[in-house]
Amino acid sequence: MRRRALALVLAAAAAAGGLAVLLRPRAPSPPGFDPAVARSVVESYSRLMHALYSDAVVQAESLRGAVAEFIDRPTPEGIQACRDAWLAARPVYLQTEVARFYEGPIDGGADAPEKLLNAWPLDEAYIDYVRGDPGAGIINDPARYPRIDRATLRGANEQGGEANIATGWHAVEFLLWGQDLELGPGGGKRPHLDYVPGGGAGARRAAYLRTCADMIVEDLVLLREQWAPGKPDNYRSWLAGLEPRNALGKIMTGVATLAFGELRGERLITPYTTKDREDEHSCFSDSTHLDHLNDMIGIRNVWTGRHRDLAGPGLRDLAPDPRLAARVDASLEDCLEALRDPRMAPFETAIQGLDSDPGRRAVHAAIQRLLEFNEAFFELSTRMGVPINTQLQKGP
Amino acid sequence: MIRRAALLALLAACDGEAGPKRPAPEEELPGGAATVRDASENAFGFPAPNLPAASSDLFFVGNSFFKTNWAIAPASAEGRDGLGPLFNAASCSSCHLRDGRGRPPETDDEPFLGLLLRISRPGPVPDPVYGDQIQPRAVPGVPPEARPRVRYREVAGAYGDGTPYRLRHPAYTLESPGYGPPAADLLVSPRVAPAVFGMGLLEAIPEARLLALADPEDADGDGISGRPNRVPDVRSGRTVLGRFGWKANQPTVEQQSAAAMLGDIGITSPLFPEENWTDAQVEASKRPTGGRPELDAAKLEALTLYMKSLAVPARRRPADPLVRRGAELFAAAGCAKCHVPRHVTGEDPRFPALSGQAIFPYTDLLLHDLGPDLADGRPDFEATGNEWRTPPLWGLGLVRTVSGHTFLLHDGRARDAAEAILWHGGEALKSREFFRNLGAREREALLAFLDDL
Repeated sequence: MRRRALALVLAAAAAAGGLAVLLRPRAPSPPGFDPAVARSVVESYSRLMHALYSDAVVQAESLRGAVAEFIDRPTPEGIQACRDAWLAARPVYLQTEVARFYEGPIDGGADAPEKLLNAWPLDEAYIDYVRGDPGAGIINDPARYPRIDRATLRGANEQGGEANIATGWHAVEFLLWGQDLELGPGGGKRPHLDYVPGGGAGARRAAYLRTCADMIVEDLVLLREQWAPGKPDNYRSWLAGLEPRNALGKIMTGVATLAFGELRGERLITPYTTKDREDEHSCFSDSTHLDHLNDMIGIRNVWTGRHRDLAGPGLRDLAPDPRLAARVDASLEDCLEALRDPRMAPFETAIQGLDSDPGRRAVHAAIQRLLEFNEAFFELSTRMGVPINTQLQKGP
Repeated sequence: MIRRAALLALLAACDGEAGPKRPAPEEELPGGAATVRDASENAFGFPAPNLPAASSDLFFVGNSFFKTNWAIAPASAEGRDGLGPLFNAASCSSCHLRDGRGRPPETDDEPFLGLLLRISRPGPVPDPVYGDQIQPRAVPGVPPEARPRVRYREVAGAYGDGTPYRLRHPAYTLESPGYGPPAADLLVSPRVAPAVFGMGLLEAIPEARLLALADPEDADGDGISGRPNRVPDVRSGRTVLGRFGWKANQPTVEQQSAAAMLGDIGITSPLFPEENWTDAQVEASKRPTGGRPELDAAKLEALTLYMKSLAVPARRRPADPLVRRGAELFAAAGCAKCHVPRHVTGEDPRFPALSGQAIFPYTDLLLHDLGPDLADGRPDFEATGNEWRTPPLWGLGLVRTVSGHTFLLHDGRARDAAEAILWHGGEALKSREFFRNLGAREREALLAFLDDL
């Protein structure tokens, strides 16, 4: 979901026992890190983001291609190919989410693309028919929305409520799977016939799907360019020019907020508490457990600086002592292990039942491991003298 | 962050600059320890930073009930169905987007969202057909109650120095009534959705402190009365001080939230277990519910915790000379007699984060007669048709950023803070005239102060 950095303060409170630690006046002290190494870590981080967004563009283009082919000739195989392409595109996108929450390219300012790309929870009845309401949504309302195009969908996004999401990954997910009406693996079962042009809304639905798929590619290209090397006016150059402490503050704020607020709070604690599928991140495709895992892999990438052929350095290289580095290492691995637990899938089933049931125990364990990671990471931030907070300088 | 404040205070102590008194450093953090330093479009949506970990977990849960749309029952979203059958909006966030403030429609076609019409018949009693609120929307198969419209008539005025201004007078009509023509003596009170942060702190101000500020007979002869509203507390069954709502007709955050769930979204809860249709609304009475109640006790608890825990945004530039000058004028004009700047919250063992905080909401939570031009003519418990509760002013300067507009007052008729002041009458007449007769530079200072809140 697009909601904010609210978690930061919570994260700080939980890790440090209240506001006092953040607010205590501190005498200027030498940074708890080597500025030269810090610069190379920031540069490595930018390389990582460029690589991830580059991969994300390739995957999204593949999804766009599958969608175009399917819309030209709607077949059961075609809609399955689109679903496969969507699932294939998601991991790398989730790995970029660690670059949220510090007003970077993804969510800095009112025009930033995050709320168009990955906003959730999404009220599917805002987009298309749902069980019990065959005339629901923008697709079935040509009077109010005569044209289905970028301008219409951008304009409709988040109008009249935070769940009125019109675009992005989860809109496409709903358009490919439909409502998931039964517990168990596999997601929704939207028929390919939904896309056959004719008397119904097939043509409008097809236009909607195509427009969303196009917009994902376009937004990801813009993000890739903000992280591209050798461009004096982009975010990467601006970040490189910041004091290392400030640049690290952003990078570490992204890690802490994703881990503690978004992943632990919004995506695990909330559905664990409510047992509502509405609170599940990718509820139409039943791939929520992979979202959680890939968010955490994204955090590990930033910690190590490693990803495919990238070999660091990462935040780990700035840890003030090996014991603390090992503690973060261990708690990160614990989180990954908890999130890989097969009892977490499908997530909508895992959150049901009694607290003593295997699925709920697995989710609860992940919530605990993330709390421990958060404590270790805030210890790191304190020792490095890099405050994690919301008072961040605006981007360019 | 306090580090910066501390530095500022230090500088202030050294530079010896003459001029208006500097604000106390605590004023920079209007919510005390429950203040957050953020001036972005999310500024109203942060949890109090001193919230204990267990509460912060519940905060996320409550947030999910605030932002997501309720579905029509029966729906696959079992925990989130039961919308309507008559309703104003499908979620809290529809009207309080990003926990912010709603506004009246800007065009004739735009539906009412973020502005609703409370109704009653003289007595006051609810209308036997339409109830106590117009719900312009309904689930399929149920007629909506009406289509409200607002039209404005502009009236010219002038500041003491001759600078002209224009105020817009709203007039409301109910078109396409779904259940027969509304009664000729129907009383209509428009109410805009306010920003919802800081409510836990307002609830934590000791009742005795607020009652001590009351002066119902104006015994001190300053022209300002200040009357408490006395309203039923559904949970305790007692009559207590009203604190929330434009007429202070709700006593607690929990009851305010549950009442809005029912009146605005059509969601029942342990406090209000009955659906909100009247006997005349037959189609509505036949609709399935989303459970009894639809918002169960655990969910209401999470929602209430969310509402109580939303932090107050810090001030941005309280040390700015113009802002400081504006603060002096605010006091000199007598604004602070009702918009009381400072309170100290009481001790609540269940909510230590909100306890014992020096806060700056700029309200007394009491009712004041603001004159005939602002009156809605609709009594609400002890509140007369001329009275309104003093709304808090904290966060005022961030409404533009968070909610994308600057419409103020109970119905959003004022297009900015200056217009809002100019609408004040009754007990506030002297203060309004003070403002109206200021020079341009001083008006600018006063508005700069409000903009920094």
